[in-house]
Amino acid sequence: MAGPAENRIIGIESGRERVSLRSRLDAWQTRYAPYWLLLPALGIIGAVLLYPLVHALYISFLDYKLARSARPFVGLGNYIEAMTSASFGTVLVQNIIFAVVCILVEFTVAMSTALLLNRQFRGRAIYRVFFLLPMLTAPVLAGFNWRWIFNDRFGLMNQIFIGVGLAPQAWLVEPNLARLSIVIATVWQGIPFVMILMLAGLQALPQPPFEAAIVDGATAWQRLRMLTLPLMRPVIAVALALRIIDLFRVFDVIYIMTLGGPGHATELLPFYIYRAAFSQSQFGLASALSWITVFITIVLLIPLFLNERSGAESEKLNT
Amino acid sequence: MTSQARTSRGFRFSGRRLAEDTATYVVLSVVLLIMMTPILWLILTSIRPLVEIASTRLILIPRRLVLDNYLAVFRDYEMAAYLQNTLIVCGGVIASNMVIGPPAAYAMSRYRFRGEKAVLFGLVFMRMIPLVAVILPLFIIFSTLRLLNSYAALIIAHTAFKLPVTIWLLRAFITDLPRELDDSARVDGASPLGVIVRIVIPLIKPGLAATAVLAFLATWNDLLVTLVLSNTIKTEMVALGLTKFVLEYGVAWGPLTAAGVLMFIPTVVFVFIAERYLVRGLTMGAVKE
Repeated sequence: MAGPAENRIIGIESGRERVSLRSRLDAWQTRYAPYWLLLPALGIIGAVLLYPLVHALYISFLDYKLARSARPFVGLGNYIEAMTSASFGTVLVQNIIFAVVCILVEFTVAMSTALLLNRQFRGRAIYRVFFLLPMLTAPVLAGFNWRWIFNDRFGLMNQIFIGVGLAPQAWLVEPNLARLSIVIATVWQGIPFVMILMLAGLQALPQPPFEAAIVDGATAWQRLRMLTLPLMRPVIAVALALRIIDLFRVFDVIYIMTLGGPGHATELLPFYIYRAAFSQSQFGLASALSWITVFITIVLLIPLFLNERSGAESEKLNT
Repeated sequence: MTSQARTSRGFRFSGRRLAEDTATYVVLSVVLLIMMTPILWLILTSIRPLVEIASTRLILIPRRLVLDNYLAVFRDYEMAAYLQNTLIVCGGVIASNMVIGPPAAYAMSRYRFRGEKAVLFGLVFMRMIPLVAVILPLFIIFSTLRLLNSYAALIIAHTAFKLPVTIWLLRAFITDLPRELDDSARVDGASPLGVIVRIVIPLIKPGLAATAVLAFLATWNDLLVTLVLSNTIKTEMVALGLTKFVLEYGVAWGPLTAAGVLMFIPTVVFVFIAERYLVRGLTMGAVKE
């Protein structure tokens, strides 16, 4: 570009030219403003999230083991190995069942609690704040809290069991009890999250339909089923989507409470991937597993988004 | 739902209302007590003498208040180092989010540009992916760059993990501002960055506070990133520190619970500060309160 030299010549004597140059710079700045405002953020996200994700995709096609320097290309080999291994099937099914159970428990308890908290009563704010604490507790700490409560010798649960004359249980050792313990630790953090979303949804509900329903003599249960739940659909969809995402990301609680055991009884996908990568050093396989998990999460979310969109459109038609 | 019911009933049914309110208190208190049990038990265990910790019988209130566990946490374990490392990393993450986040959020809120949809979708997608999927290649990259066991690696990684939420949340706050405010300033010749610093940032202080709190808590609570990116006392953070109380012969529950209480304190403080904005932050701005 001939720019700099030219500028120097003109710049000396002509103020008018300098102004126009500046305004040109301004125009350029304005035109590309969104891009350079976003640049630092996208740069760091690209480097630390996007690039590794793509890199993982690349690694997933290699026979990549940490101890070996040769990393031959194996195509879909890792994906085939993952999909055909018995343990992956078990862990996948387990993670899906785990997510379904947690969601059922969380939404039932959270919705009931939110309906009560939505009433006007003194001290409501205090209840609300305390309800939030479990959700913001570090998952590691939550894991230790429950590991301590479920401790087979000195845990609170067995102290209570012995106190009321029941036999103490090996909570984290017997497979089904271990699964129950993991679910309890997870919903303990999930319930407040869903609850606060439901409460926000309840508080944003329009009043007139409910007044009309009361005039028409609808019972509380009818109002809940015919009005509250349908009107809350968007909030419920958001909550559901976020919970599905997070229930396929549960790691800390497993790492602290059971390490996936006994056997594979409480193993969920993230911990399974972590083990493949850092215990077995099978980076290629672990990367393939990561991408399968990303893919599963997306597939699970698609019906929710489609449903939500058609719901929003039909609502628009109704009004 | 029930609030409408009440307004239409007025005062005539106040007896029934009293009964309903009492039922609400009772049910909520029971649920709250159950939800608080793990936290209460953590606190109670941390101040018990050892004989009570290793008891098969239920002892509700400690007979003697003991602070040995809290001393042990600093004397026998490296809690001070964990806390220091965590605070340094958290500080770095908050600072970088506060500098990088607002301009990006402003661009997403106020400009229509090519690729906008892709960026929006990309940010949601980044919130969705399992961390485990990214942490392995990140480990490879950081080890190639010889950045393992450094504050820099932890701050960079955490900053990137928090930025999508930061941008979404701030975007929601900026979109709430009347457009005329910054439009007129831009017509008067202020640069976009000038508008952000002088006009937008002072108006979205609550949003910034909420974002900072969320970034802090997510970093403070994180296990996986430190677990993979650091393995020396120089950079280990408090969540990973808790696992050091699991010893070969068993768990040192006394010191562990004391460390847990210390780790829990900032959570409590920040919940009380930022409670009002948490809903928005946790849903990336999708649900407003």
